[in-house]
Amino acid sequence: MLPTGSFTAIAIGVGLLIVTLIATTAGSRHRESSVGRVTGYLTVALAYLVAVFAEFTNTGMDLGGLLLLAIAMLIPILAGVWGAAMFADTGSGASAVARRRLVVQGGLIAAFLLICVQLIVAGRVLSILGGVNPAVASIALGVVVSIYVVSRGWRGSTRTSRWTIFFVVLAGLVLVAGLFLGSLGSLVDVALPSQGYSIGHIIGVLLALAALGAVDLVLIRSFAEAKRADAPRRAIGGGLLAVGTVVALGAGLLLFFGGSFFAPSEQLFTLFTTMGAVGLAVLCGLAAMLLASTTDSYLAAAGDCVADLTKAQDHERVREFAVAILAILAVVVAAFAPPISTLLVMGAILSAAVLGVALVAAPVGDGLRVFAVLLGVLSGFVVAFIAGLGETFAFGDWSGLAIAFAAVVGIATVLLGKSFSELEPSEAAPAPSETSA
Amino acid sequence: MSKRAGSIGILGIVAVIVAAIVLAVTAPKFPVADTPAVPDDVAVPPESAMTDPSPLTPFYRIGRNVQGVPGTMLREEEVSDAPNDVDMSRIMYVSEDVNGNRIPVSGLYVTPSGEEPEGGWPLVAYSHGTTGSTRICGISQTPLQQNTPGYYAWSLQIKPLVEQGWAVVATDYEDMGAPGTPMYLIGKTQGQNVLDSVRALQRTKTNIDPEKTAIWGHSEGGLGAYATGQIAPTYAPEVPIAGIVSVAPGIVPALPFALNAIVKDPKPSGQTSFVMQIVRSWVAQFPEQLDEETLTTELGRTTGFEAIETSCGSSIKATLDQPMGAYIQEPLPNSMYPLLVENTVPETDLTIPSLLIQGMKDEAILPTANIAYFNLLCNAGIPAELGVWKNDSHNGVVISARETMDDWVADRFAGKPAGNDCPNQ
Repeated sequence: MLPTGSFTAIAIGVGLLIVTLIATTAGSRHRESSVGRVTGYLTVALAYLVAVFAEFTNTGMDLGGLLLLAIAMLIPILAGVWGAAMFADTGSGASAVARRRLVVQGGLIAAFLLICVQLIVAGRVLSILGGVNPAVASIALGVVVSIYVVSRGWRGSTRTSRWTIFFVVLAGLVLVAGLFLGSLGSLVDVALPSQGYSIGHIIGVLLALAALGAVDLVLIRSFAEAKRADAPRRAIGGGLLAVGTVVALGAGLLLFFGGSFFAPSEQLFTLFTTMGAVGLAVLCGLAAMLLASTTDSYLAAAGDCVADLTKAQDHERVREFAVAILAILAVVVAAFAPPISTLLVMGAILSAAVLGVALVAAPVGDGLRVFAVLLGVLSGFVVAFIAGLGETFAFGDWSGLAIAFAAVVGIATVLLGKSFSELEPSEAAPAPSETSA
Repeated sequence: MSKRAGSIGILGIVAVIVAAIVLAVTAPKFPVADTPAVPDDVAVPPESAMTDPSPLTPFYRIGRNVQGVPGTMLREEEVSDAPNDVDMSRIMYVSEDVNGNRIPVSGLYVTPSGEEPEGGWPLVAYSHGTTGSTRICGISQTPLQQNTPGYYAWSLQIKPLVEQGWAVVATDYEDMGAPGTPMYLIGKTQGQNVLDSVRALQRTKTNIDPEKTAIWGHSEGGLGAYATGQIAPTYAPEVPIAGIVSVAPGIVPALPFALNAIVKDPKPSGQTSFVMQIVRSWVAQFPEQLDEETLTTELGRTTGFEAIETSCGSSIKATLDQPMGAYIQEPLPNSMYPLLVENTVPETDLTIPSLLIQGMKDEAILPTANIAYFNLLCNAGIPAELGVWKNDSHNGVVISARETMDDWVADRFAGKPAGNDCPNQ
C-alpha cells in the first residue's frame, strides 16, 4: 500500500521523541562514565554502513558481497584504532602535538561530511519509504539531534547509542524470517546473480573507509575521553557486534530474496509496499532513531572538538555554538542532497592527505603541513578528474588511486619541505605552539 | 541535570513535535480516489467477456520471415462493418522479436470518421492486456464481434479513446494474428511491436499528427506501455512520445518465496492462466534458459498448453481449474528470475512523462508490485505520476480512471508539462 505522510510523520516523531528523551535524561555523571561503551562503537560502524551501503547493493549483493561488506565495516574501526595508537604515542613534542592537531582537524571535516551523509540518507529513506518531503526530513532530524546534543553533548549521544542494541534484535528476527521463508541452498545457488563490482571499485571504497576511519573523530575523542586501556578493544568489540548484526540482517535478506539482495530493486520495494502504510511508518520511525543515533555521536564529537581547538575559556558555550553551526551547515548541505559518494570520495581524499602529512614525523612548520594537505587534496582531485570521476566523484575503478595519491603527495610534500628546511637552516620552520587536540 | 540543560531538553521535545507536524503538513499527498468500485458486470459487460477465439482470415496468412525495416507496412485491409463514426482497418507491418529478428505483426487502426484536425489526428498507440497468447487471440481480427478479444479491446478501451478525437493504433503483438513465436509478457517485444505500429502509420498515413503520439496500455499492455517508453529513445528515436499511460501493468517481482508460494497454493487460482502463458511463451522464446520438462507437469504440457493454444481470455481460465501446482512444478527454476526482471520490469531510465493507474482491489496482478515500480522510478530520480483507486478492480479501474487518463493524455498532446507525484523529488 502507499506510504502515508501523516502516519510516517507520527512514527518519525515518536522515534525522535524516544531518542530525545533518552539523550536529555542522561545523568550528570562525569562524562567519562558514558563514553567507551561497546554500543557507542556499534553506532560508529553503523554510520559507515549507512554511508557505503549502496556501494555494495546497487548492482546486487550475494554472500560474497555480504562478507565483503562485513570487512568494509570493520576497516574504519581498525583504521581508527591504528590512527589513535599512531598519533597518541608520538610523544609530547611540538611536532607530535601539531600532527595530532592536524589529524583532529581532518577528522572534524570528515565528521561533518559523515553528518551530512547521515542526514541525506535520512531524507532519501524517509521520503521514498514514508512519503514525506526529503528536505524536511533531513532538516527535522538535524534540528532535533542538534538540540539534544547541545543540551547533553557527549553524554546524551553515547546514551542514545545504547538503544541501537534493538537493531541487533531486529537483525536476528530478519534472519529467522529469512530461514523460515527461504532456503540455505539459495545462498550458493542464487536466483538473481548479482552483477558484482570491479576490483577497482571495491579497493576505492575500502581505501576510503580506511582513510575516513583513521581520522574518525568519534573514535579519537572517545578513546581520549574514556581514558581506558581497553577502549580500542571495546571499539573492535563494537565493530564486531555491528558486523554480526549486519551479517545476520544481510543473511536474512539474502535468504528472503533468493540468495542475492538488490537495493534499490522492484523486489525490495514490493516487500516495502506490501508492509502497508502503518508498517512503513514503523520502519521509518526505526530508521529515524537509527540515523539520529549515528548522527548525534559525530555532532557531539565535532562540537567538543571545535571547542577544544579554539581553546575558549567558556568551553561549554563554544561547544554549544559549534554544534548549532555545524548542524545548520549540515542541514543546508543535506537539503540540497548532493550524491553521497561525492561526499565520501572528497572526504576520503582529504583524510588521506591529512594522514599522509601527519605520518611524517618531521619538525616542519604548520604552514608547510597545511600546504601539503592542500596539495594532496588537489592532487587527489586532479587524479579523480583525469580518471573520469570528475563529474560526480563517484566511486569507480580509479577512486582508490586518487585517495592513495592524495596521501602520497601529502607525504612527499612534507618530506620535500623538510629537505629544503635542512638545506636552509636559517629559514627553519618555527616550532608550533603546544596545543592539545 | 542543570536548569539550563533541562530547558534545552524541553526545547528538544517541542522541536520533535514541531518536526512531526511540519513533516505531516509538507508530506506530498498521493492522489487516492475513494469512489465506489465499478461493478464487475459494468467493468466487463457480458458481451465483452472473452469467451470465443477470433478466427483467422486470409489477411493473416503470411510467412514468418519478412523483408523490410521495422515499421514497414506490409498490408492493410478495411474493416467493412465498422460503425459510421469511425474508419477502421487491419494493418500488418514489420517489427522485431526479442532477439532482433524481423517478424510480421498485425494490428488495428481506427480514426474518427470525417476530416482530421489541422496537423492530423493525435495518435494513441494502444498496448492491449491479456487476451490469450496465440494467433486466434489477436484483437484486430474481429473487433466488432461480441465475446471475442477484439470486441473486448474495442468496446472497453479503444472506442473511448477514439471518442476523444484521437486515432488509435492497436498492435496484436508477435504471434497474435500474424505467425511468430509464442509471446507473452516480454516487455521488449511488446515495446518494439507498439513502436513499429506507429512507424508504419507515420510512413503511410497523412492524416495523423507525427508530433502527437501517446502510449496507453492496460495490464499486459501496461507493462508494454512502460517498455515502449523505455526503449523508444533508442529503438525509434524518430517517434516523439508525449506520454505514457500504464493501467495496472503486469509487472512481476522476482521474489522466489512469493512465487513458489503462489504455485504451491492448494486452491485453484485465476493466476494459473497467466503463469501458464508465461511458461509456454518463455520456453519457446528462451530455450537456453528454460526447459518445459522441468518447469511444467505432464498435465501442464498437455491440458495446460492445449487450453492456451485453442482458446482465449476467460475460456483459458475456465479450463485451467486445478490448483497451479497441477500444471507447474515447484520450486521454479532459478533461471526464471533473471528473465522475470529482464522481461517484466522495464529499466528505470524512462525519459517520457508517465501516469500509473492502479486499482487496489486488483486481483489479476499484484497492486503492491506496481506501486513498488512507481517508487523505483521515483528512487531513480524519474518524475512520475500516480493515480490510485482504492476500491477498484483490474478492469473496473479502467472505467473509474477514464476521465483522469483522457485529461492527462489531452494535456500531453497540448504540450502542457507533466506533473510529478514522487515524494522524494
